[in-house]
Amino acid sequence: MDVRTVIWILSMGITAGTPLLLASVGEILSEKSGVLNLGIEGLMLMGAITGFMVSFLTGNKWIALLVVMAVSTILGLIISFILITLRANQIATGIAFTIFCTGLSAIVGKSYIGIVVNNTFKKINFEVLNGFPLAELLLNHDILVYIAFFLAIAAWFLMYKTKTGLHLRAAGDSPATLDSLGVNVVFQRYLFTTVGSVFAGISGAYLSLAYSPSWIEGMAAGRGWLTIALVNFALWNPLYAIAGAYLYGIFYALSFRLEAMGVAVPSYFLRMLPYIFPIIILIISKLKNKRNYAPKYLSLPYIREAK
Amino acid sequence: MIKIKKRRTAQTSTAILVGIISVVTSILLSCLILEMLGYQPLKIFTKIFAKTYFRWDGILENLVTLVPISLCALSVLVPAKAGFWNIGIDGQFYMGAIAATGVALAFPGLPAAVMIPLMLIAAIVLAGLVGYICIIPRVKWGINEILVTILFNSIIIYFVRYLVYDAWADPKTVAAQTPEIAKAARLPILISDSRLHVGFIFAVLIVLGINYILNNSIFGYELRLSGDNPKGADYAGIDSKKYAYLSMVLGAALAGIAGMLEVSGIVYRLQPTISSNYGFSAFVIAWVARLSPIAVLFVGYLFSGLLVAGFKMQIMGLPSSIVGMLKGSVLLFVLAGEILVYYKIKWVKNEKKNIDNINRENICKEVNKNKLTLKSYNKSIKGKYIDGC
Repeated sequence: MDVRTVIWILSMGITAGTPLLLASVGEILSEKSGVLNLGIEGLMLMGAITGFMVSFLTGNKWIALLVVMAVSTILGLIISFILITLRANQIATGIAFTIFCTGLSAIVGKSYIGIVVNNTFKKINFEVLNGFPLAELLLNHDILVYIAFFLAIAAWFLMYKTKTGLHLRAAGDSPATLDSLGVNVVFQRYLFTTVGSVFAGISGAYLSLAYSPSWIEGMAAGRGWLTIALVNFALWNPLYAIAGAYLYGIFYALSFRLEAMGVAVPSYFLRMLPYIFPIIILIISKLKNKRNYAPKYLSLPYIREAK
Repeated sequence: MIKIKKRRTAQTSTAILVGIISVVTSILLSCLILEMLGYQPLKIFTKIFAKTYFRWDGILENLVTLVPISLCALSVLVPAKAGFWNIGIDGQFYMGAIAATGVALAFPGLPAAVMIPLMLIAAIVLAGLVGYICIIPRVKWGINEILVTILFNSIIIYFVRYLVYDAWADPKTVAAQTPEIAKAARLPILISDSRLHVGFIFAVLIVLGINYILNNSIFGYELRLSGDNPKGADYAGIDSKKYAYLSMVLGAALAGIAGMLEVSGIVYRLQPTISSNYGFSAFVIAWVARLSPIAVLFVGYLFSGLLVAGFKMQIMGLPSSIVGMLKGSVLLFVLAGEILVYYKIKWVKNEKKNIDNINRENICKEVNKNKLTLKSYNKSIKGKYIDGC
């Protein structure tokens, strides 16, 4: 492998890791507040079709992104209402929500299959920098890659360095304490589940507007579920999620590159690798770290009278 | 102010009512969405859905679809009773189909009496093995089985693609499929001119059998106990790890049987499309049926009609994804309505009265504890009258 190949793999890794990074930072916020939102896959699909559709209709990718955020907020509020106010089973609800959104996005997107949209997020190209491998690797991406990176760091700062973050973590670890301090647990959970949903929506829009600019039914291709796994092995920390997402992306890129390099294994088996890899990482991280990092009240509804 | 109080037991009548309302609301919602997108929902629902539920050939076709989805729903239900989430039904279904096709293609000369049991055993073993592998990380290292089972779906789908495009590809066509299996490997048809095969009777027997085992045997009791109350099960000396493995292997094997019946009774070959999202349908059915095997048959019939209608819509070029959306929204409404089943919701006029109620309860406690007469207590708190206690 020469330098160019390595750069290609790393660079593709960053691009492929970005949707996972966005979604997993959102999921970390929501899980830290005590709500297990398994509807990520569905939210990503809705984000993807909404972004694609609005970009096609208005011709403006930024308006598309705004509409995606608005739609994700509404969907996030719906799922928050079912999970938090109606205290429904969070696992079953998340899966039901994904089934619902998969169907809805397919109906809405039926007439958008095979359409090309020109106004998408394109790679920023600094011609001056061609020939400097490191600069090519780090500076040759679309704007959303950088936004995702900074959002992850901002989420980390919010969670660990601010009062709001303390409330957020307390809502998931010890909601009764937070309640006794006079902070509204339900509001915290609503807020961060909805914010998490917006992140997932943007991640979906990244898929249809930057990663592979088109609409295909079910184009999230299991990334929502991988996100949940990623949150687990990132130990609910946005900084680890950055590393995890890019590592996953590099692995994903590698599974394509191996095929192109003519490895004797049938390509179908190489395509399995991105799905086997998270399971192995999960096992390794559990073996290394016996401590349970999960928020203590994850997926449990908060009921004040319950003792 | 709304006051929410937990009921001692779930209320079955409310549960059934919630189910019916959920279905009706979901249909109205999907009509609304179809209307907004410029389709004609009334036409779709009256023409296609009425045919699948009220015409003889439609009913038979529903029963054909009921076979795999009722077995797959059980595959969600059995682990769920033991407290585990099996979301990898699609993968296990394909594993059963792979096993059955493999046996039929490898030994084409066997007589039916040997061939079909052999296919069944292969399907059970291979699918059960997948279930076993999926639950090991949970039992050994505490890794969420939802993730592992979901990721295994994708892994197995790629394996199926490898088989149908490469290893077992049908040399006669370019379509993604294996060659047809031998006549001896096919299940006999029950009613002529339909696709309803013997597997239907088999599936119904399995549902009844699972219902009996779960409700009337020690195995079923201990399995349910280790799911409902793991600590209690531990105290009672029940090995909950054993039930983790057994429930998952049994669940996966049931999905495997469904895959085998689909190959041997319907398609007669392996194709990468034989499960049209049966996994998620099964999940919805099991939860809408509130994890009761008998209810799975009825809810399953309702949903198989939807799936059949979906196939028809697909052929006619209509948006068949409406069926997927309908499934999701029915379950969402049912889950949202759970609160009515498990909690009593009361409208209390204002908060002050509510506090008075709590005071009254405390006073009642004191009255009972100190064996005071209510009259003497009333005197001590200066004439504030309290009734009850």
